[in-house]
Amino acid sequence: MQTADSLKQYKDELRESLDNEFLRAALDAFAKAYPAGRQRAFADYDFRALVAEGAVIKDAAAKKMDELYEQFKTEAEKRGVVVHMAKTADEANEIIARIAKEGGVKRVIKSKSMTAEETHLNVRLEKDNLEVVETDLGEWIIQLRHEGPSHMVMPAIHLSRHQVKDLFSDVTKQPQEADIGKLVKVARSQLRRKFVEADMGITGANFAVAESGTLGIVTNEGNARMVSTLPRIHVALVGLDKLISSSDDAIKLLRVLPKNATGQAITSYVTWISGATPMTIPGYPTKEIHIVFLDNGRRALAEDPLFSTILRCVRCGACANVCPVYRLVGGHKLGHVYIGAIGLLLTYFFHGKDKAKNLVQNCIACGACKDICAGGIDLPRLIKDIHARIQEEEGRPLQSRLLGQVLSNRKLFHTLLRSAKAAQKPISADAGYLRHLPLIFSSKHNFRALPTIAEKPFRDRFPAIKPSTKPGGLKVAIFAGCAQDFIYPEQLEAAVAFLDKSGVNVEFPVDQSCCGLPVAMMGEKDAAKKVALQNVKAFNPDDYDYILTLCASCASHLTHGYKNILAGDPALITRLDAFTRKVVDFSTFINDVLETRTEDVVQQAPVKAAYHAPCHLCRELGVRQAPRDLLAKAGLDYVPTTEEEVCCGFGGSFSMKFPELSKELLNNKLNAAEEAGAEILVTDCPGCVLQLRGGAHKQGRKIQVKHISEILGKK
Amino acid sequence: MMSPMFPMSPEERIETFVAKAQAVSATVTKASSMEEAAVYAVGLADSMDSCLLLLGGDEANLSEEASLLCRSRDSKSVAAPSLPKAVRESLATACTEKNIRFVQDHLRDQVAGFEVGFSIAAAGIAETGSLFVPSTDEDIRLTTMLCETHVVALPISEIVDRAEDLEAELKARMAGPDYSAFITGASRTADIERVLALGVHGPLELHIVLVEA
Ligand code: SF4
Ligand code: SF4
Repeated sequence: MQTADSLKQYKDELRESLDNEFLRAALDAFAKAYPAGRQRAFADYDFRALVAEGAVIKDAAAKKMDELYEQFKTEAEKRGVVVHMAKTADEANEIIARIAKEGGVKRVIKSKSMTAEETHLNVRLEKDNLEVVETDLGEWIIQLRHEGPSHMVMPAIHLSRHQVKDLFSDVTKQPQEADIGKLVKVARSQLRRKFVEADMGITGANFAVAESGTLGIVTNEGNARMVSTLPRIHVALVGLDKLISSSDDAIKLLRVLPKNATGQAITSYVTWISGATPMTIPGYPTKEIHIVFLDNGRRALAEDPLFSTILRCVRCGACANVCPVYRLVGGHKLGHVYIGAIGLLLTYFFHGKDKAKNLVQNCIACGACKDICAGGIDLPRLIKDIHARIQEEEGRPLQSRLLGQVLSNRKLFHTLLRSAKAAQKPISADAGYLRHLPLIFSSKHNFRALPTIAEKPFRDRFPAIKPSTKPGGLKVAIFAGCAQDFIYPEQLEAAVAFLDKSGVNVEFPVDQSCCGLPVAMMGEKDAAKKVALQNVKAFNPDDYDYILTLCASCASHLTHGYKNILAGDPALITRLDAFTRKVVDFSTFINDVLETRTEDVVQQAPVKAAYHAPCHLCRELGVRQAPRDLLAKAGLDYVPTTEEEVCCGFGGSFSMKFPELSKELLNNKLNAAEEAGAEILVTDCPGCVLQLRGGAHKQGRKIQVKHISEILGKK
Repeated sequence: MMSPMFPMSPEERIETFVAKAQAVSATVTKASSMEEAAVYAVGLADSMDSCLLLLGGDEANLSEEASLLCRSRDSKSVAAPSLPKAVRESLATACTEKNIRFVQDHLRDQVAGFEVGFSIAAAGIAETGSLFVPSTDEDIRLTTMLCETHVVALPISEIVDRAEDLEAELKARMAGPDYSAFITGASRTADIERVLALGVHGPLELHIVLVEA
């Protein structure tokens, strides 16, 4: 459970995780194994269609949450169940404590419930001297260790069998072996007795089916069944977001949840409880069942036009499974009670700004979570928005405000870049890298060499290289982006030469500025909007067939980003729409629009080349085949590498804020390319080039890092 | 959302059911009648070591209180409540022959468990290899939880393509009060180092007997 007060303290905690070798190895192994298992589970299905179907179900349910609650209550009460509504976490805990008291309860057993973690229910019950025992193996382990879960589905993933062995040796007061099969059986036997002795069983639920007042509970161990069967009282604590209309809906959601969570077609048990059934305890002919629904901000969320999609979450945990940051630091550092991408959001809504303010900064916006989310939630965007919201509430940090001001004023920004170039002169050397880090960087940033600012930016070079007009040729306007305009103009020059030879007309509208992604990432909403407007105005979409960019991040921000940032401005709709539809990335343009063939391209020496797929290109824009085709067309021997689509760790301001995480991500990438025997690593984004090339240079690695424009020469 | 595999022919349906169930380590066999399935369950119990809680953990070093639980069990037993008369009689005969205790009620008092629990599924779901087991009767429910090996008889004719095909029956049951389950494979966990281990709280093994008639 992440509780750091300051960003500094949070970073210190992150360091601890990075140094935890078992954790790193476990999460690494998981990150590698999970995608394959999941893919097998979905092999016969159309994942996107399933997600879309589930989103419709959950959105509709969120819209009529109150209505569904009333219906559920009526139906469940008909079947002998008592239904309660708790507005807050405390209220839920008090209701359950009261049920225990009135029922003369002494011992409580629980099966896994994230909602009970959310309310810290155990703490409350223990105050009344109740014995509370978790029966989910992972939950039991962390309960014994007095820890919070480090994953929503696998709460003890941060622990080794040796740690569990020690723990169980303590509990049983007998020496145990570090044999997982045996340890599981120790738990089985130890907990059996607890089931018999308990008078109250507490579960969560995955579905609350309104039409019949039914609870659907999805488990693998079978403990929820025992918890809801053996004790005479059953209490289910259920978030209002679990309400759905019908069993049909539940069955549809069930088709995605386990597959996405663990790669299982379905869990071992799916239990449907509809009302209070007969019991065989003498004196208690029927079960006493209470269902406590928890609001704790969910109803407000349901009303929120932007954040209501959070309620689609089915708690599959996949967004943590694929998160490169989670993989490095684990759930105790990437979440408070809820873990992973959704955890960053839920922490804000359920546990407050203070618990969330550091966490939300620790997202590199790679989009991996969004891509895999069972609810189709645009997690990175919402995380960014929460970040902005917190900044508004807390007062934005100076650095962020300054950057906002600078970027909103193109002339000022470019003047600053030019003077930065002048200032770097005495220290620049060594083939385009800064010899010393500028003062704003700490030594932790020293994991990669930083490039110098180019002698002459692209915007000053363009007039001299502007191709002559070719009547009838495609008309393309270049969007340069800061990195290529001021650091890597040669990448753009190479592209212009290619276009020229391909018979394309090229323009460079000079009023263009930074795309604005850096300020959007920092939560500077106003600045992000100003810059976006400036760019949309700088390009008259009627004048061009395409707006071409060689930067994956710019391409994605100019399209998806702008649609969000400039939404709600009716005067702009048509212009914005024309603008975003014309934006194209370099690889798609060369490969798919120009239909460039192998015989059109100057052939490179046939060395092994790996490809790094920029997050914004492969996931945000869905461009996957074109760059790989181009590698082959250029005569390179393209070798697929493990985790080609995992983030390189650049992430703009992320690498400034969390250099140690950035460095680990970078190393993973370079290692993978080298292990595949690649001599060249090609990518599609100058940001990735900066990260990968700077890292390779700093570490003295032989591998060459190239932008794809640098390996493509038109014959 | 339909996946390309639906709808299935009867042969495909059975094949898929068997393949999916086996993929989650269920043992699938066939019998020509319910009675034969019941006798199969007794045979399984007979072939097991006595006090299979042994398998369930007694060979491990337990705390004193936990090991007390095991010692409370002396002979092998098969739990099978609420069976149709003919099936019950076959099972009872088989149990007597093999000197196995036949438990039909008050399972709650015998939480140490049974070698084998025998129950009858209302339906099978081919898509996932799942069994639909109504268990509003608490003794049936405990049978499916407390045994070491769970034997479920499933009439082949009751296998459907997908859970959607059970919706009418599900809804009828949910008119309630009702307690039902989809059971797929044995109880499992991967909570320690993500290593799969079968039999955490529920059965260590699931045997499905497909009944032809
Ligand atoms: S966008 Fe990437 S870094 Fe951010 S939470 Fe999602 S997976 Fe993690
Ligand atoms: S946000 Fe999406 S991926 Fe994450 S747990 Fe929820 S449903 Fe699963």
